[in-house]
Amino acid sequence: MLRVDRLDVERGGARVLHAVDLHVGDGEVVALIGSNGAGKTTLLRTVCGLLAPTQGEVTVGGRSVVGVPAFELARRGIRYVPAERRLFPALSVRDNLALGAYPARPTRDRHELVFGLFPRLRERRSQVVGTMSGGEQQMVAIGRALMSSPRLLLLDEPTTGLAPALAEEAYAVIARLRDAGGLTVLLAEQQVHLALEVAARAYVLEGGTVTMDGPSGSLRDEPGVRRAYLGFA
Amino acid sequence: MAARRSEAWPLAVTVTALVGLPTLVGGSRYLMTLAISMLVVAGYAVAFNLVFGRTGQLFLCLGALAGVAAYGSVLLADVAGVPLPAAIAVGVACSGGIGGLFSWVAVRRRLGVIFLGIVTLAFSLVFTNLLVGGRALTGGETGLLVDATAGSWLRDRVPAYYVLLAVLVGYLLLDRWLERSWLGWAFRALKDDPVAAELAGVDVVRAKVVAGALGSAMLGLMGALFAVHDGFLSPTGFDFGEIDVRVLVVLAVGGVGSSLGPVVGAVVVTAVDELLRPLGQLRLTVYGALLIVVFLRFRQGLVPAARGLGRRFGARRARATP
Repeated sequence: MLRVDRLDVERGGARVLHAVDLHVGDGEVVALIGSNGAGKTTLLRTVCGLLAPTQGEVTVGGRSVVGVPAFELARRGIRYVPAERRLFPALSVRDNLALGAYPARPTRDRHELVFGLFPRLRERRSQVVGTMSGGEQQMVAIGRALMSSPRLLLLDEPTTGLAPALAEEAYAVIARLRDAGGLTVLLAEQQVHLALEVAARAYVLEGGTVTMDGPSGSLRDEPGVRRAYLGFA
Repeated sequence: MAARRSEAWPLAVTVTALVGLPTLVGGSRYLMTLAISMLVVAGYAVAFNLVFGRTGQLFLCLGALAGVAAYGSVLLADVAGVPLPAAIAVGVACSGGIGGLFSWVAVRRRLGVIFLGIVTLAFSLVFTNLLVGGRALTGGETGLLVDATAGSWLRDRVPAYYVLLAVLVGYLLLDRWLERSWLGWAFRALKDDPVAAELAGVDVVRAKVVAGALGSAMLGLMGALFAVHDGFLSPTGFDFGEIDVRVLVVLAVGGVGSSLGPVVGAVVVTAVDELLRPLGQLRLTVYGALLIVVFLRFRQGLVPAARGLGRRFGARRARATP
């Protein structure tokens, strides 16, 4: 589904990503782990078209996404959910979700699918999003991305600003999406234990390059990962 | 959505009042001249509301955009002999094209609100200078008489009033239709957060260019129709101080982003302007003081303020009846 080859990205003249190789198979959930500033967000923003690479290639389903505007990629089903969520705070839950289907009209089925995943959003569908809690806003953000039947979901730190219980709840939803099948997910996360639970494989990004990758199970036992990201001495 | 729908009735009442106006004051040349200039300002304000209120693009060349179509169509008709309707169509298309170009450049070059304001203000000043300098064609400061409509019914105040009113109603219907269309959704999304809109699949560039071009064409049509009615064109009639400042005040008084705001603003500002005329030199001072009060007390404009009052009154009534 997603293939990243020798990717270099600069921001403000500084090289943020260097020679990154990565692939995500159809229907696979893959985690991207690493500390603040490792380049996770830059990688996701490049895949969804908000940033342009200086070198390298990114393809989704065999088609290059380099140089394609972000709205066009969104219409092709590549949906990026940023850590800061970027909802429309003045609009209701229903209207925020409806905009996720733009330019098509949102179908009932899609609304039902999202409300099925997030029952709380059904109760609050008329509420203005700006007045909702962080956890609810995260649900709206993921729900909005699901309104267009995406092929590739790019989740950037879905647990940002969430209490631990809510973070686990968010991951339970991601696991349910994974089990439902049909959706490919690339997930950037600092809460490594959560990400490794839901993802089949993971890439470790450090200083803009991939330093390790492999199945989640074996990465979890890797001494470097245990020390740096899982809090073991 | 509910708040927007509730504007339908007040809007219908306002339009009905405007339709009936000439039967009351149609005999007075003075009052009809005033009523026509009020309609023109209202039309400009609806157009500017589409560009600035809906999509957040600050165009400070409203007079110039109206003037492009006005001078363009009059010169095409009088000098080149093009039939008047075709001349107006070309002039309006030019205004729309220039406005769309400003929007496109602004998005492409990532100009913020202030920078787009400065660029368009510069265009406004250049345009006035071109009119003054191009004496051979435009008549310079002295102005230009319109031959194409000499002796036509369009010169009469009452028929012209109805033509302009029809155009204004058309603008309002277009504005409401846009609000409910998917383009309206795109406008709301991109005004809130352009990046979020882009991530939701909104073509931000196209939506802004459409708003800029459409609003500019609307300014152009109003300007051209007024010019051929009035029969006289001059640079001061389209300069920044004369048009842009007035439209900004109208929109500020009426309320940015509401459908009714531009019309109510135009009625109030025109009325206040005239009532203050006997004050002579003091007029501008009082005018300024009133504006300060409006900005401090009703920052969102009169229409949203009135709506808030109405809602409070409605709530009280609902509580009184058990």
